[in-house]
Amino acid sequence: MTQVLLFARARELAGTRSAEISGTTVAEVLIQAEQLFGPEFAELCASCSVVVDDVLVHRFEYSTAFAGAELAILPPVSGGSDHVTTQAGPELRVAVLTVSDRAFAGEYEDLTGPAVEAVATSRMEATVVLRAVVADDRSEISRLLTEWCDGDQVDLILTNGGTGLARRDVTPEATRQVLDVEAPGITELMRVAGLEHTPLAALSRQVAGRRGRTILLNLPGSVRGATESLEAVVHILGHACETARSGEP
Amino acid sequence: MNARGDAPATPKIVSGIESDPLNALVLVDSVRRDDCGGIVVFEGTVRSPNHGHQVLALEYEAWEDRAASQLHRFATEVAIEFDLGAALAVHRVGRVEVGDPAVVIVAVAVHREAAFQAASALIDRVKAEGWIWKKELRADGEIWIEGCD
Repeated sequence: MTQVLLFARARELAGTRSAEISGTTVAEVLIQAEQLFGPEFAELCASCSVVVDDVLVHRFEYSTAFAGAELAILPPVSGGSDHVTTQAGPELRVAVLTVSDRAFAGEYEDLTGPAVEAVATSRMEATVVLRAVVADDRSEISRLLTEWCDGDQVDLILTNGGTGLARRDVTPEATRQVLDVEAPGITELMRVAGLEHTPLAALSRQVAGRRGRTILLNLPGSVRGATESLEAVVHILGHACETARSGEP
Repeated sequence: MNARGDAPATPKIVSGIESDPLNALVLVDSVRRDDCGGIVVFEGTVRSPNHGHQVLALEYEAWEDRAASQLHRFATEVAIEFDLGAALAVHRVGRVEVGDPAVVIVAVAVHREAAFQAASALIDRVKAEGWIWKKELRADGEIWIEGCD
């Protein structure tokens, strides 16, 4: 067990100055704390510094096992904008892939891709570096995902569309085909959030996971479904991408 | 050492986290010395209004033992860098009323130039790196100040 110390707004949101939390890495402790203390705490956590037994831990070290007894979660200090920026780590490079026969054919304008980009840039301090619209074509989707991942151009790929039960919907299969590992918890969390709005969320088939150093995540095709699904997981995607990037290439 | 060769050999360092009101005059007297001719005092006081909001007071919170040792370290490092005769950094915690000092910085040097530069460097360091947070108590609510204001 690690003794977690909480200060200022983190202390207020958690309702306690300290807590015993288990976890072998900083990332594990933070995720446990975020689950324990709620979404607003999780959002603040993204801008917090972490000190383990007197030593500031850098973000790329969050997934490294630690033996520390005391972990402090420290919100940004009032005069320290520069300091905070330097600790926030490199910007997240995001690619957005819209999968839609009709948008690809130009029958209607792609609204979901831009909506996903807006959530990513406003909620995750991400930069959109690649975007494309493709048809519901399994091999073409897989080919593009592979190209984007293996070129080390992006940290996170967000697809939208092609995740339902229509016979043309193949995005989950095309994605699963290129993943090294799946991360089902991410999409489980999205579905749980979606069920609060509609039981139809149970029919969604999105997958998530990692290929190389890139995290891939399917989102639904509707503007509302895509943005609400992404909102439900933005607070953990940063950790996911940092973990995927850490370690030797 | 100072190029002029007349810098004090050992700077005096005073630092602390205080829950009682600060008195800058008393603090300055604790570090003045006869071999230094320049003393710069900085008081950071609670201001109202801030960004259009009427401020009633600020509530400061610190990671107390770590912040105290940080202030001591910052003052020591700045004193060495600028050949000071003395450096002081004391910060409040708890509720600080509008107009009252939240932080006092004193740089004591042989000549004024080093004292001005050192005082500026020391307050920048305290604000950017010290584990001290402030909550603005406004007429229309409370808000933690995170990042530069």
